Amino acid sequence: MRVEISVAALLSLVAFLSPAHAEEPLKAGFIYVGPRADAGWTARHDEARRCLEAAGIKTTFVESVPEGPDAARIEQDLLGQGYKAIFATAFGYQPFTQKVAKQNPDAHFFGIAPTIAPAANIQNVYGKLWDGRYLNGIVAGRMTKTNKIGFVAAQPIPPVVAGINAFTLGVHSVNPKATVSVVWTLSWFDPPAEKQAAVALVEAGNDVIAQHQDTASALQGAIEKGAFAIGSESDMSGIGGDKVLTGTVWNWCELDKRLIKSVQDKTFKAGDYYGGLNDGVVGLAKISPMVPADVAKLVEEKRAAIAAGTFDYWKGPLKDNKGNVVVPDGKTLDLSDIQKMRWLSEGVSGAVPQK
Amino acid sequence: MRVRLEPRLTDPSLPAYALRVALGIGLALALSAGLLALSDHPPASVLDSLLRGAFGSWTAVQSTLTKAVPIGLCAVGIALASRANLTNIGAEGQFFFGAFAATGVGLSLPEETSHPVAVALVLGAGVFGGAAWAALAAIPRALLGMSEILTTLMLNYICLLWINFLVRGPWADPLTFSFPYSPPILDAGQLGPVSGAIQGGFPFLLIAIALLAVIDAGTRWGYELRVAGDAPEAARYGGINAAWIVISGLCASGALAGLAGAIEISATTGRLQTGLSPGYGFMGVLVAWLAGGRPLPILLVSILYAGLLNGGFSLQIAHIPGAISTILQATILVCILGAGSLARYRIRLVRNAAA
Repeated sequence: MRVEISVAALLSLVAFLSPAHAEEPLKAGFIYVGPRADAGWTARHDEARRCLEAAGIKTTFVESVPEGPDAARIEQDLLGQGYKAIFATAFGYQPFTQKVAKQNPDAHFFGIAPTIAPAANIQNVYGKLWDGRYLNGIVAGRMTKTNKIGFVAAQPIPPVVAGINAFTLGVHSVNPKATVSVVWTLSWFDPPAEKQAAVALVEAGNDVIAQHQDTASALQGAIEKGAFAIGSESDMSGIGGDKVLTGTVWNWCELDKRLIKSVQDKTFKAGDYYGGLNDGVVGLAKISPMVPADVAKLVEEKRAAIAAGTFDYWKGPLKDNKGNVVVPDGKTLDLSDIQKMRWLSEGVSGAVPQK
Repeated sequence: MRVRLEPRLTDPSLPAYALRVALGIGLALALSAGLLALSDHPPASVLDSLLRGAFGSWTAVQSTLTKAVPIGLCAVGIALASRANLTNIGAEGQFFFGAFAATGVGLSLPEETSHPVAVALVLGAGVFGGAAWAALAAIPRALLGMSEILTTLMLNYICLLWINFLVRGPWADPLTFSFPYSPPILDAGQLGPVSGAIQGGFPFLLIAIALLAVIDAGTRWGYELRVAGDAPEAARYGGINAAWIVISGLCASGALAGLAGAIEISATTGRLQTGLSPGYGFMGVLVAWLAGGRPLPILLVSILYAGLLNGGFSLQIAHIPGAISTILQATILVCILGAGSLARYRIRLVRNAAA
């Protein structure tokens, strides 16, 4: 009997201490698809989370959450513990976020664009990563000696395909003879496969290896084999040293601060938001001292021109790698074209895995 | 001296069994506390977060029950097959084939189908699909004596690849920008919650548990399963059709896993996708073993196991690293499994015979 009473007392104490009272400062809960130590996609989101924390926002996170029904359970758990701004940092969480968002109209959700499962309290964000890849391509095109460049790519989805094409256009802007060979790992997080893909590309004569993966494994494989590498997601020069020529970097910190602020001052807007070189969501990793100064200068000029909107590398005529004209002379591509991109640019050796 | 593990001559009584499992849980908690203390996390608050995440609120209980449904259904199926000494390691594949069949029906039914009919057809397709996938292992076992342990295990991988192919290829939803999802099944085919709160699949788990109890207690088929399992020679002498027992036993086992897959489609995701199951079919093996194959313990253990999984995510929200929560889950499982095994086996020291 006494045990029961003390259990009941304990439970009511727990209920009393539970964070269920309103009028609390906004707290942010993050859901990551990979481990924080991936040195890539998830690491960058965690960097932004710590940045919010430094700005006085209380945060928490759950890592290695698959893009499946568990995401909804975790979001509910976070909401139950008073985290009313949820950052669900992978595209595949969207359908689950939508269910939870509709049941919790007072909470706000931030996912990864493009939106496939909308709700009034969901905003999805992404960045024009391909603009950074174009600049990476300039560096790769100037640094290759064999005129063969490798690209280790995760899934054949439009943002990745667009990145490969932009990269190749950048390569060709300085070196029309170079080709870009693509290897698909068909996984965002498969370190051994990513590394093996890079090693195989180097063995086939490619001397600069770029990547679009969540981890730094491809880059490590390339450098171990003596090739140059180009990072993705985060500044990977800390992992590979000067052989890492440059790379594209996500900077979510300022954006996440703005998103939190939009909830606080009630200017939240549902829908898609694409950042880029202009607002810093997409940035360039440090350029290695091995890259000649004139190349670095050219990259900086192009970066400024793309950010200012005065330079557009998608302008036609552009051909795909089967010889068809995909962007006619005088035309260009807008965001909605890029979101549907399924062709590979002239100069890419490889194919988009087909249905 | 040698150490030997011998089966006990009598099955332990239920209280004795429960006592040993309780001791196992106690040992697990003590080990976990030590581990947490070593890594500078206060054990009491960690345990509190774990329990709170699993059962601490009505939403947490709902999530836990939802997760117990696929685990429990797979476990009931595995336990059923084990009555006939059949080892079904293929519940994961049967789950996915059931989900595939359910999605196929859900995508092809006309929109105006009435709700009860649509749900019945979608779930029925899952039952049929799971049974059909199990039949691929059952028929060679019955006719050629091919080990069902190997075939059910291998068929898992084939089915996962089939699902992968479907959601990236013929069934890829064009609206999801080539992400691996099928289009949603028709609205009428979606199984709503019962009495507004508990996942609609939960009653099916209760029915399956009850059916297993009934089959054990007093059906001819249940008797034949056990005789064929315990004494195949006696079964043949007694006129039991061994091939029929193998096929019906394994197919019924697969049907339950297939039903679990269909419920995930109909009540949780509404569409087929990769990552639909985080390994429910394999968890079912564990749960069936932990519960000693008994119906009521399967229900309890699957709820506890689901709670352990959900609580693990809550630990992360409370700033316990994901790796520690995985180690805790594993410690708890190993201790309980060990205790359960020691209830059925005993360790004897045997002196070597003089050479």
